[in-house]
Amino acid sequence: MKNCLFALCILLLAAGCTSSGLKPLSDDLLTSEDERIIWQRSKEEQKTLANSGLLYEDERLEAYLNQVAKKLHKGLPEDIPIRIFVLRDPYLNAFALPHGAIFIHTGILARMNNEAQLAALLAHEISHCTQRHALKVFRGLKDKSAFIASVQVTLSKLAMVQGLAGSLGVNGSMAAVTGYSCELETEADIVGLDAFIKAGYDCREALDLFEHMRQELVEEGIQEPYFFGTHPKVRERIDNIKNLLKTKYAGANGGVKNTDIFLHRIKGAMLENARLDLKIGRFDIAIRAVSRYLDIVKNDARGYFLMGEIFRQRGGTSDIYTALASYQKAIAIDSSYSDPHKAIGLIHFKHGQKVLARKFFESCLLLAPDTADKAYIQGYIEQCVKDGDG
Amino acid sequence: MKKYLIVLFIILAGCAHGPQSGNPAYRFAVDIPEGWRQLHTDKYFIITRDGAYLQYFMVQERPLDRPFKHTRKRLGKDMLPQEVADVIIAEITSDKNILNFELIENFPATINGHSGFKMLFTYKDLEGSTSKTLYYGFMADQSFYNLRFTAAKRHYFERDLATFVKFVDSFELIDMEMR
Repeated sequence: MKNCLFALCILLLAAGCTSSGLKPLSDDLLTSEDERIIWQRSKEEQKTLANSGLLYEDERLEAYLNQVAKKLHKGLPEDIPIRIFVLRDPYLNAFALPHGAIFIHTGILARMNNEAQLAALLAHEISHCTQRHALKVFRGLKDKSAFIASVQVTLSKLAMVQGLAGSLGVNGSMAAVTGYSCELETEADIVGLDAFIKAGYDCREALDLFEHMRQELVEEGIQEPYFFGTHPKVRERIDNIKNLLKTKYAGANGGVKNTDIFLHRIKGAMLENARLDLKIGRFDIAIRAVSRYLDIVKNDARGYFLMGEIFRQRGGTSDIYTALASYQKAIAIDSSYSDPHKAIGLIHFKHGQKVLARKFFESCLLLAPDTADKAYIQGYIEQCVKDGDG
Repeated sequence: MKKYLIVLFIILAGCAHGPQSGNPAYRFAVDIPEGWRQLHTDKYFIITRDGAYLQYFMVQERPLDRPFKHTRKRLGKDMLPQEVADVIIAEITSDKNILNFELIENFPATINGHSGFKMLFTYKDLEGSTSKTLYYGFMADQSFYNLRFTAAKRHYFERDLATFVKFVDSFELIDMEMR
């Protein structure tokens, strides 16, 4: 509760803070009490997230993300140790805790096209840390209680945000849910873009990232947390970056994209995110994601099985045929994979084709005798035997 | 133990499938164990012995067409109990207040003669407390019914489990039988 109130106070500040003339990082880093408190709390929030079961753990992916962050960090003050983590969350978002822990949702990672787009996002988030935006907000806090009521009203309207705010705590709520003030976001864009270009990335991708995501949000009518979705000034920020690219960085053409290595590294997160989209019932987004995954990883039985699951669960008029075809592909690729056998069995079972259903249920149990849903499958088989061919 | 009959046919005689917000219509009977008390909420039938934070039994009826809060998946009348259980798991695990969800068991079950499922799972809340839930679910007519027992994982769950099993055994759908 204490955390909540503190978060609420800070959240509001993000709406209207001004720069408080901080000394350069190296001069007073953590020498002030307020910054020590913020860091301590950030570390606690990081620990909570680490123990929440929400982290997507893939050592190779994390190593890769941290490698990209390191390239960008060279163009920024290096006092704050940056560390990147991936959160299992299908919504488009990313946020930085003040002490340098940066969290990227699988949802945003899975929709990027290349390393340059990832770098653009990371550069922005790293800049929030190096420019010590949380501290600036904290120091701008004047009348705490006056803000609380209005924040409570705002947050209460957004169930998803309430959840996020709860699990993220003080600093995470500010960074992930509401974002910082326009001034601080713009500063992060400017500083981040500079680091991004110094690292040699293709500057067009920075814009493409924003545009691509914004369009997708509009098309899908998706309500997302802060990063791309709810910030009212996203359009303005895109224009600012466009202007910078035309003026300050007019000569910065071309640069690195690293598409192949990026897609190779994130493919697991991409499939995991499609599972999350399926779980929340965003069938069309999940279909697009798995199609993209199967373009990268040809002949992947898990990918085809997931595709089958999405179509089966969506349940449109012809979906069942696409589902069957996908399951069959999964089996053709990996005949020892039990899940598609069960899924085909379910389809036949529901359509009264009990002999066929029984065949697939039995092959499923043969391949995975200790499968978690053994009791269900045995029940289906008993029903098939009882009913005959239907 | 006294048979506690909750049959509120009020108003809803003609709109049993409509939203229940603020005006619950319980169409079931169930034995309330001795020493347990009913909490007054608009949405659910819920009882506890030591306080809802320590343990509660809950019965919920939800129309099949009522959307879930965390998933866009829907329940359908033609769904198998396992498919219904999958939708419920999707809803629970998409809730950001539920952390470290662990499904221990998911089995077919029969509740008051209806084919359904029985799930056992643990999770942590945002304060880090671990709870354990035994969840029964089934579909009847145009509704999905669930009976659940949630308690602090330590002590309370094991202690009250047998009481909950009796509670489930006593459950009856009233209107279904009257038709």
